[in-house]
Amino acid sequence: MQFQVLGVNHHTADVAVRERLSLGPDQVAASLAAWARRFPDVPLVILSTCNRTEWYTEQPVDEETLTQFWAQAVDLAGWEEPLRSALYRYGGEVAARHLFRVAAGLDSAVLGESEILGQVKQAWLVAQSTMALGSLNRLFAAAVRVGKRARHETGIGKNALSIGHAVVELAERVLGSLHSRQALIVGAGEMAALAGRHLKTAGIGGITVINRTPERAQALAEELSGRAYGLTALPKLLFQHDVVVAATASPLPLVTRAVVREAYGQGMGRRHRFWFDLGVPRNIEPGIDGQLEGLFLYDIDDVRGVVEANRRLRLREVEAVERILEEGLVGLKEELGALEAGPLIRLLRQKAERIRQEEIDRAFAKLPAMTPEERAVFDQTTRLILNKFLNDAMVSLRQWGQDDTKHQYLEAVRELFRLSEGSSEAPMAGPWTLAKSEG
Amino acid sequence: MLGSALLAITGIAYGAGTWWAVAAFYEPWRQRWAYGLAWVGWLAETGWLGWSAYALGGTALFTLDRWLGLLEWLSLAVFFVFASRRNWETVLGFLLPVIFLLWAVGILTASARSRPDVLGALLVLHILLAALAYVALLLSALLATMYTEKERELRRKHVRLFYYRLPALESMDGLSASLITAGVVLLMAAIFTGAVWEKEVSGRYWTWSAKEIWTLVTWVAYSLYLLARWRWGWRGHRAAVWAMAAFLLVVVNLFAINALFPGFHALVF
Repeated sequence: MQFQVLGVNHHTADVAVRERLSLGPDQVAASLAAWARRFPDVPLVILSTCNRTEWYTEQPVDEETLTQFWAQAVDLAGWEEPLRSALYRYGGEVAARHLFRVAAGLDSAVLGESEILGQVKQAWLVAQSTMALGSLNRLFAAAVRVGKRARHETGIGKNALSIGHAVVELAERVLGSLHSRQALIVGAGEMAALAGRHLKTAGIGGITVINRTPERAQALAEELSGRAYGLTALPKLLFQHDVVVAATASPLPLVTRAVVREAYGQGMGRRHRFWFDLGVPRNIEPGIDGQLEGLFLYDIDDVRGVVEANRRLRLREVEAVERILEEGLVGLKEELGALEAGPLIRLLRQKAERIRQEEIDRAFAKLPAMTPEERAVFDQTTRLILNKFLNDAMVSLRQWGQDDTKHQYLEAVRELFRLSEGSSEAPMAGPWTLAKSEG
Repeated sequence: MLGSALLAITGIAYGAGTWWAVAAFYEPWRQRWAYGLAWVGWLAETGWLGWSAYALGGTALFTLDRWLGLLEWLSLAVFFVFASRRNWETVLGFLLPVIFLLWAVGILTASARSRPDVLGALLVLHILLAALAYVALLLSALLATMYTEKERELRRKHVRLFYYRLPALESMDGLSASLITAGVVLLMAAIFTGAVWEKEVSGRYWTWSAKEIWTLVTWVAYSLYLLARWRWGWRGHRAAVWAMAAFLLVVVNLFAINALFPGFHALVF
């Protein structure tokens, strides 16, 4: 396993450095094309997201060569020092484990977020369309498998970690599917828009926006495919909606006990509702939920409390994901080991079989009286002897193929049995220098 | 021998299933095992009920252990139907402990007595209707309990296990009400078939026995629940508390009334 990753991420660089170093889709494609022209035998995958830019190569490549290409893609003038101090490089198994952690969401700023898995897949596909990826293909395929397993078999990607998403989650935990529900967004500021977008993405049945300035309400309503009203419609609309998100800058509560009492008197008080008061100062009079049966009222701190509980829950899943990750690593090593030792095993078997066949033919020539049945027994017996003799050697070769420290054993076997003679497997030539990896 | 083995497998599967189903609240991957164990227990119980009927030459539902066995069997059968359609496996964490408890009570009160010759088709129908009614009411009470547990976490704004593992409040509330509707109809049908059978045996439809009165009170309590939902819009917490309280009437009916008062239903002891 000779992989290498070189890059920066949110752990090592702040956003100013990351945005300078990140590559857009066009820059990634151009860099890959330039790389493929110059080093067609060195597979490369570039993963560039808002939290990381990483260069994965099949074998160690020196830092200079890679940063040179990086500098061709983005203007690094004046950023050399921040890049150098933020740069990390892992090699071999450590590099593979790093990619697995990235794909599983363990290395994300938001633990377990699922977007990164799609980004890993996309980076892999883009690189695939540019050059042959060799064993990098197996590395990325294994990483995607690990990422999928982590999300299916553990709770690492479950439960909301943002306020907007938590609003949807809480509403769904009370009301079930939101497809037939109506949401009222009070306010047209950033928080209101954020919650509205999450509700829309969750497929809520309809959204109404009300705001002191009708034009702003209209603009947000258009974005959310909803209806817009002025603030005066609030008392009437409040009880026609299942989910209410209030996020205005009003210094006084907009929803008071008097408003609720009036609506309750109209016989609209007992169904389940969820009101979110995301405004500071609060837009809904505190304690109003005690006045109305079936109403749940959460302010911004309550929602944050749920987000924090969700985060703790995800942290508890890390151990299970690490187990999946180790299994993935073992699987990858086996796969690569078979790949590494495969040609040698084939050569050894071919040579042994050729010798057996020659000796059998010679023996048959000396014993012309042998019946076809006797010949078959003779043939079968010699084959069994050969297989039994080679079996342990095959197992050892496969194991050595998985272990970087025992690669020289493979070479020794090749020399011992003179298996490289006539083979076209010459070492690859390239302008890179083998770098000392951290792994 | 075969009957004892099947009964033992049933109990072991229900017991182990209970442990796994409760543990699944903490570690969801255990859910599959709990579900599998519930199936094993249910299949073994199917065998045990069948074997009992074969060995005694009749349905033999006049003993408490077999009657409870029928209740356990039907509860799980109804659960499997719901769980396969709605992905509600977590109900098992509440249902299996109750089923295991019923199994244990059945074992402790196991009786060799049987009256298979008395069971005509009408009486079998009456027993089945009553059992189905009790199963519906049991499941509704469990859903109401689940509702109040999850609601408590949400009201305290301190989300823990049930917030994550239990279905949406409104879904539990709606399903509980549907089960009570079914339970009320089935109980009414059971009372009706019981009355017709009583007429055949004693010449009177209604004898004002403790069992009849208590069953009627139970039926009225659940009917009031439905009336409150329909007429006064009861939902959520209030409805859940009513469903749980009303189920106490069923428990008293099943155990105390049968034990304390003489009559046909006392035969189960």
